Amino acid sequence: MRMSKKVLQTLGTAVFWLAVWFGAAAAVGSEVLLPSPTQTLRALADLLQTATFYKSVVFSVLRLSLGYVAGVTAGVLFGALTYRFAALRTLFAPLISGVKATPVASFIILLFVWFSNGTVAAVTSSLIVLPIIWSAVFTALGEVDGQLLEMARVFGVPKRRVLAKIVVPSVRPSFKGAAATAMGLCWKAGIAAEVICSPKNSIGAGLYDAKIYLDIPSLFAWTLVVVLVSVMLEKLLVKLVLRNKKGAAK
Amino acid sequence: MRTESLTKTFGGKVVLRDFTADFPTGSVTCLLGPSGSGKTTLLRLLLGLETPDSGRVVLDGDTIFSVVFQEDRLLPFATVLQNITLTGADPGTARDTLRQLGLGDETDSMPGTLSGGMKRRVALARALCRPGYTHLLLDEPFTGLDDDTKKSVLALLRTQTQGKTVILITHNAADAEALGAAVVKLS
Repeated sequence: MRMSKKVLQTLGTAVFWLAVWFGAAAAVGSEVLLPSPTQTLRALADLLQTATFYKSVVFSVLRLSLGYVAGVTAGVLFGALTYRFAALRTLFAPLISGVKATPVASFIILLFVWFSNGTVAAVTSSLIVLPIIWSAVFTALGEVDGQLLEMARVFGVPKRRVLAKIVVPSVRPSFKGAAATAMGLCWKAGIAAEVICSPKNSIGAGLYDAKIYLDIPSLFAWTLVVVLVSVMLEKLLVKLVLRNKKGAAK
Repeated sequence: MRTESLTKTFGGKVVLRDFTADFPTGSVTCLLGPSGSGKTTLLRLLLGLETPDSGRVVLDGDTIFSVVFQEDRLLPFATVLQNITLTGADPGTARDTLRQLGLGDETDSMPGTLSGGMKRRVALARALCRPGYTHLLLDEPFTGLDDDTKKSVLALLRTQTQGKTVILITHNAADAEALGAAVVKLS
């Protein structure tokens, strides 16, 4: 009963916003300024019939996933190392602050000078992810219960077991939240980088071309694809990697 | 094990002053005293978790400590059994000890689902199951236990700690008597 109420609420919300979109498109009356949902779906259907579409989606997902994994790995390493060694903390603090404060567009343009256009999106994604994960891991390590660590020390628990059984489970909740947030931001920044650098076989290039040729229904269709793939990736990440292990904390 | 003229201050306040005591191997000693008399500080000094301002702790060469801290210190994300085997305890021994402490059905429970008294018993089971321990330090181990449970825990302690050096911290003289412990008063 509760489930059907939820489904009805979701459907109702979708219908409401579709109606708003239809109404706005009818009021504007120009597909160049605001295409209707029907025109957008027609453009999407056209895209779905081309091989380029699938290549673009696959390569964009691979490119940005690579950036995400690299950013998460570097973030965990930096978080752990800067927590453990005060000298590294002092050394890298300005770098991390700089990466956090620099606008994404500046990154993309700078990286475009240094890297090939196919690499910029991946590097941009990893640079967006890195400080988020670093900050979460660093903070969570500082919040590991000192009494548990002291207990482990008195009981002579080996360091590797302390890491696996106390430190990692303590850090995991913060890490999970940060990893999910970082996924969304990584995808947004990566697509922005693709739009600016227009690498071959990319969603960003599809968006750029649609804009250049004033094919606004296609622009909307590509945007719809970006949103759908982002949601799917986030759900997949939560389901496969970030879900609670059986028997873990209830 | 013995202490020689141990003194410890925190923020200018003397918590333990010139404390000397002998804890012979296999003996049961009860440190009795009101709150703030330095009982827990003494336990932390014995465990090497604090450094004395002066004096020293002399340990036997083969000392292996096991302890029930004032707090339960259980991993909230691990089951009762996992909390005990963390220290290298044999799972069979852990299950057996839990059963003797009335927690036979709770091996797979998470600490968050247990009452205060049950958590205390898990902490006791962890201390009793540490492989090869020679010294057992108990800081207010009976907190939260009802009278019947306390009696059975005391009985278990008497049988399982034969030949071990036991130091019990409490403010209840009856606990010392029940364990047949020598009493050292702190004031």
